[in-house]
Amino acid sequence: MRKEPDTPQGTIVLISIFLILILVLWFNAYFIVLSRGAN
Amino acid sequence: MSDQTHETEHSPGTGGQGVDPQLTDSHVEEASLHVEKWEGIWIRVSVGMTVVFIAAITLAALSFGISVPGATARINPATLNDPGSPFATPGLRELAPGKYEAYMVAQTWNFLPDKLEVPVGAEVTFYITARDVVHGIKIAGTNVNMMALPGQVSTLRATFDTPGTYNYVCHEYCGYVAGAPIGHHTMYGQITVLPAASETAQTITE
Repeated sequence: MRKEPDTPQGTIVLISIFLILILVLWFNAYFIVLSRGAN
Repeated sequence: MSDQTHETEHSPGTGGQGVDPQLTDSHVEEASLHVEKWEGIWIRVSVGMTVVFIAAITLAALSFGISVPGATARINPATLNDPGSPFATPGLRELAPGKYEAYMVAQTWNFLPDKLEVPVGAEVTFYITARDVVHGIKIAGTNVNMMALPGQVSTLRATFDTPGTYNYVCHEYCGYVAGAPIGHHTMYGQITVLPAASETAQTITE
């Protein structure tokens, strides 16, 4: 019987931090651009 | 395909060509497409983020007027000073109350003009070209960030709603003079946004 692989908890934590960081930085820059108005 | 061959490939115990007797064509296909649970989640999240980012940029462009720099015209750099050229007298021009256009020339190693004054709330459309080599301009605190290319007129618009000073710099490395305190790093200028009491805008061209 094939054993299911263990859940890679450490990787999930690191990737979650990475994703949150990317989203926060991206939308931070995005809203700064929006706040400066149209061009 | 003969019956003999069929038996060799799919019957157990024949000691055939090393092919797993339980593995049909459909099994092979399923095995090659198998994606682990967390790998699948990661792929979906990555694709989802990309879709969200593209949607946000599209929304900003279509609903909020955020645009990339445009190339409005081409111009021969050798004719910048010709009579009739707007770049012969670079500086600020008032089109209507609160609306201005600024014609600017980037050259080694300064901007013409390197000082501008506008009243608060002014909407300024910048037109910039280069006289010699490739330059760039970034006005800090605004969305103005574009290349200044010889032969091309680039344009962007900014509204200055907050009084203060806005520095602009060349952000494309354009050289220096060895041993002299002049070069790309000294190519900068400043826009002063005057409080509401100042109604006139003036350009100081040096």
